[in-house]
Amino acid sequence: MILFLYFLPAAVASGIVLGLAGSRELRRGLVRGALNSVFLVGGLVTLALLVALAENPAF
Amino acid sequence: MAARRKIGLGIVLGWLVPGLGHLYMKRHVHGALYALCIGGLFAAGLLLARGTAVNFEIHPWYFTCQAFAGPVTFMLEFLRGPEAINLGESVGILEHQTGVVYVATAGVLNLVTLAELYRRHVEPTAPGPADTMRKGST
Repeated sequence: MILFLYFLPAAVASGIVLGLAGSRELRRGLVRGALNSVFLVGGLVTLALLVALAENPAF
Repeated sequence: MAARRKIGLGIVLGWLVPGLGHLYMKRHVHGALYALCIGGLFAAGLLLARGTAVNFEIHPWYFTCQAFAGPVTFMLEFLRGPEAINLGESVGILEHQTGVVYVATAGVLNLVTLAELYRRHVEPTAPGPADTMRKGST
């Protein structure tokens, strides 16, 4: 679980940069960046849960 | 005004210091945000790995990604000592690996921002990947 938490700041920063780079307007880029960050963090949390379940099915 | 600026110089500046190319091209908010995110990620990686994040000998592919973050990567590689890292003793394995990935991510993100800087210069009104799902964006 800790392994994935280590990557949370990287996921947030990556989401914001990719959102800003992918949009023509600044405001829309920031919104999209926030959404990207949420998706990336959600993916990390899902992975952490899957790993926790694989290690301990009674989790 | 932005179109009159030299895009080649902007890209070189953006490689030298993440976000500087955008500042040069008069895109101040983008430049500041990129500098904050990419510079912060780079610095966090170095701190987390206690300076062992950049190492061409044991992580050549990661180093390739890290090189896009700027000449500071080459400087760190040049300055690092020839001794072994001693993973698990002087620095934790998890911290080292996380730091390496952080710095590599910073490099790849800087490459993305440089590509975006070029595209915005060539096609200022073209929709980006985040704009294509909006009605009337194309």
